[in-house]
Amino acid sequence: MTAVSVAQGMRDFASRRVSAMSLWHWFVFLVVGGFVMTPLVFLVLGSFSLAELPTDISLSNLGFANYEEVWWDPDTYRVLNNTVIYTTGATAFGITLAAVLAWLVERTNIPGKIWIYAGVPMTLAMPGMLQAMAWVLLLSPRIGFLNRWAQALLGLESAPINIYSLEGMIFIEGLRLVPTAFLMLVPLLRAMDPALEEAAAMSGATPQATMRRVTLRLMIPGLLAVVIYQAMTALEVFEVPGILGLPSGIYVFSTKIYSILHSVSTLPAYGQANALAMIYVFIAVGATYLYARVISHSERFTIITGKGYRPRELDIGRWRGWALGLVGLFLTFSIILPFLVLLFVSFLPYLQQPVWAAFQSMSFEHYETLWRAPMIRTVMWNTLIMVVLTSTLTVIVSFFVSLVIVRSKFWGRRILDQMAFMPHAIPGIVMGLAFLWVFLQAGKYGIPIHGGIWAISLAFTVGFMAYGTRSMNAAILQIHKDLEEAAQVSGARQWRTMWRIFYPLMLPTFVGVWIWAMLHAVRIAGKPLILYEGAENQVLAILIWNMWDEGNIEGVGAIGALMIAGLLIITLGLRLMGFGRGTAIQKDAGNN
Amino acid sequence: MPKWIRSVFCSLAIAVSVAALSGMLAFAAQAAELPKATKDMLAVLKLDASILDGLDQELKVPASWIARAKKEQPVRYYGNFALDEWLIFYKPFQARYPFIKINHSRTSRVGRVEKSLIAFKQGRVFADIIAAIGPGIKPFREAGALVDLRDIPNFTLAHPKMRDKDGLWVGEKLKYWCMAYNTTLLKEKDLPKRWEDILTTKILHKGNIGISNRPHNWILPLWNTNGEAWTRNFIHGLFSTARPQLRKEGARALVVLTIAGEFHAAIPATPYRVAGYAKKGAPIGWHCPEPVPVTISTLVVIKGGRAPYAAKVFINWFLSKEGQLAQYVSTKASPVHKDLQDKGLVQYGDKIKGLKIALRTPESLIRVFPGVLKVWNDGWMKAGGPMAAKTIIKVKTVLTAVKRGGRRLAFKVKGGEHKAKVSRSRTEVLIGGKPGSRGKLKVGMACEIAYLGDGNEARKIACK
Repeated sequence: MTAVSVAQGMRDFASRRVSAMSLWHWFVFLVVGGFVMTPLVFLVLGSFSLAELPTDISLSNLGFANYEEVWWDPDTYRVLNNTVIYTTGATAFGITLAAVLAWLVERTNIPGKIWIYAGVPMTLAMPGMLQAMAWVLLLSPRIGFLNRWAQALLGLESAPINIYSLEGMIFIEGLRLVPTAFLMLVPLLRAMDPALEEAAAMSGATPQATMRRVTLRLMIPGLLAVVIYQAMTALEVFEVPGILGLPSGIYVFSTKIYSILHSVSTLPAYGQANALAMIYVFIAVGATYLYARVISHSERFTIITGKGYRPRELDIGRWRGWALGLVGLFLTFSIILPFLVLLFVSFLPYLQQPVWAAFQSMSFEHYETLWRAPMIRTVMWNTLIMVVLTSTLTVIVSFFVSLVIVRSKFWGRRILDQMAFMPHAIPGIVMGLAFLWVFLQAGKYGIPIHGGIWAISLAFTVGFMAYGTRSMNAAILQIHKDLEEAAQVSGARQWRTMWRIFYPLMLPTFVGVWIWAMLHAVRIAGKPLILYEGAENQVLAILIWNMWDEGNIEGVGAIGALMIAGLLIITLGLRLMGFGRGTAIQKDAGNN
Repeated sequence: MPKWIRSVFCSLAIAVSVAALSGMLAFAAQAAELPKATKDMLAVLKLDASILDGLDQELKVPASWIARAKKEQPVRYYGNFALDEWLIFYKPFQARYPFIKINHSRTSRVGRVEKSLIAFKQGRVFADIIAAIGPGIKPFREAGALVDLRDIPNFTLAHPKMRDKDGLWVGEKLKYWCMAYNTTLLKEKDLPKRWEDILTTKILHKGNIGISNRPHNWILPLWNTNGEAWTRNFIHGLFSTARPQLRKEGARALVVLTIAGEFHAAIPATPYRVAGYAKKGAPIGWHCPEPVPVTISTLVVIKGGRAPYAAKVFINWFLSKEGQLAQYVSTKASPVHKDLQDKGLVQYGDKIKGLKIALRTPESLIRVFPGVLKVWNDGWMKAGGPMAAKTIIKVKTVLTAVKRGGRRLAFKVKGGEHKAKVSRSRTEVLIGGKPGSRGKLKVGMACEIAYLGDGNEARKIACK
């Protein structure tokens, strides 16, 4: 072998290596790693910080005092107990209800299916925070409208239901979980070949045995993925336990962290909040691992045969009315009743029971105030920018992450996938806290990100990546590689392949993820509560939270009614335009 | 009459007439100069324009301030005006200084105090003016974050107790922290004359008072006036005997909840918040046991802000008669201006007339409050306040249900049914004075049960 050929061989080898370890894969990996892991590192570091404020952290001022303070406190274990009960209960209630609804529309002859398909996901437009606030007005033990009516009607001495309880929190959070779980379960049921169930029936199995041995077993991997995802969602949510648990002193971890950071009479104990938040880091690591395992084993369960597939409808006979009633009840509890309650209080001069005198005193006073207040315009503008930024960033980042995960042979693609999922398991309030530390440190080095809209948008994007990549992974998997190869063989450049092949095929998923991110960014208060600094980055969710906290219930009613109506119109409009049909999450769940 | 006397008399008469005429003209001129928003405000308050005598002098600031303020960006004011209140308050200022824009944001105390402190330590300032800084004055002072306000002409118009001797804060309004009550649930005769009467007024007990965790507003002034021993006893009695609802909400929310009937009365509550709702016809009243806790809500200017001169012009106006009246007309909060103290500008003034005042100064927030907080927190937490260990309750009762081999019990407590869990290892069971097991518990047994409240675990069950 001559020297020239050896040199040529080395050059080829080097170029192959560079190609295999494509730079942009590394870029995506490092960006995601940076945005997920850096906050978590600071969260850990901050848990040892004994400084009064995050700005004063230094290596010479670290210790275990925060851990001793929070983990020696017996209350912490009561909070742990509450958190377990709340998460388990809400997940069980939400998924059971969603499964029943999904089964009714997919496998039975319930009437009005088209309305149920449209109606259940529409409840996504109802922010959990407003839902909880509305239920306080309905079921507060002393002033709840429904409780008062029940007491008057039944002659009861005390209120029959107390919404300020763990059960109340489970009920509301369970309702909140239903639409997403429904969207995830419908494709699972649809994709399952009924021939398998029919075969079981032909073999003499009872319907119960068929359900237990065939239907449920086929659904297990997908169902497990849904359960983990939803449990993480319940664990992550701050608004519902914040509205229902805080007034009565029923704490879960996210609200305890919030209360440590929002002490009324003293400076917040940031270090203690971090030490307490460590439990979420462990849960996030465990849940991510478990989720990855469940997903990786799901291919064992082939549920689509591709031959003779025809959905079978079970005749539920006289139960159709009851089934329809259940759907109606869900929609009433989830959206109709809360919306009507908020609308009612929005017209009142002060909070009153819905009696004739209250209706007589109604006016548009609160709407007029909202219209005239300059602060509202600032908040709306901030919210618009934040939502557009967040949704767009979520789509772009998730797409490139998924491209690496699904289409490349990059060595770190599984780690990348897990890193993208991990923030979902960490409550917004904790991720907000983690980002607070990062942004404050960034400020020291002249990066003025804290206190701006970017801070909230970045934190949201990192949190929404889990959903975005789950959806994108599924969508990219469905685009066969042959299409790209055909384009390349025809001489198309990579960007042109992207534009002409990927973009049109991915468009429904892009729009689906964009809408999902928009709906969530506009209503979640956890992260913004920690990251907002003032008027410059105050968003709608913060305004509503603060107004509720200071007792401006009628103002919340006005702004809440407008917000729900706006979100419903947007959701409905986009669905009518066809973007919502068969979007990401359905495909995702279907592939899981 | 001698001629010279007649001429002096005539001269005097002319001089008096001229003086009177010019006085009338001057008055007319001043009234004409008032912006329409100010006149409207006076009309609403049914006050004569003469109350604003000397306003021109009060509004005088160095010309260079105005020149610089005109070039500055909008002032970021973090206060506590509600949306509708700000619109009313801002109008006269806007009319007088159309070239200065004030962006008011109503944020929580955490937003106003902690976040701005953190930002300042990082070299960023996102609020030029902060109101109601409360106990946060100490870290701000220590961080050197506050502008000396003594060069503001109207700084001295506030009573000496309502401004800092170093000029780092000035009072914006007086707050009287007493109680709001639902007028359909409580009668005037049920209202306590002195604070300690709450402990013996049974209609206010067992959750009929809502209390927010803000001891700096009312307990600290009471401590300042009545002393430590009295306050310790009061706190103990309040939590153990009166057993109020412990709420996380702020003062305004408590008023709203009182109107709705969540509780009969709310503490602490300011008269100006209550008056706003009462005017709308809500069933709410305000009452003050003696002594009357009074606090001074403070205004501070943060160093390094983007509109230091505009901020000073604004504060100067705020402290003037016009600014203070604008605040009164929009929020019903009592003014700090020394010439407006005896003008009846206090909501429910008749309720506090002649009562002893318990004042909280910002200095006492720094020196005394840490001690107060310790005592308060202890009582709050023992009473089941946020993050508190639950108090063990002892009841003598008869078992009405025993389930799952004694693991679950039900019994009557004051007419209602309570349930308790029985642990094999943690619950001590005595039957007939001798150690027993939960399996031997039977329906109908008369027992004394020590437990952590309905639905919780029993610690001790002693049955006959």
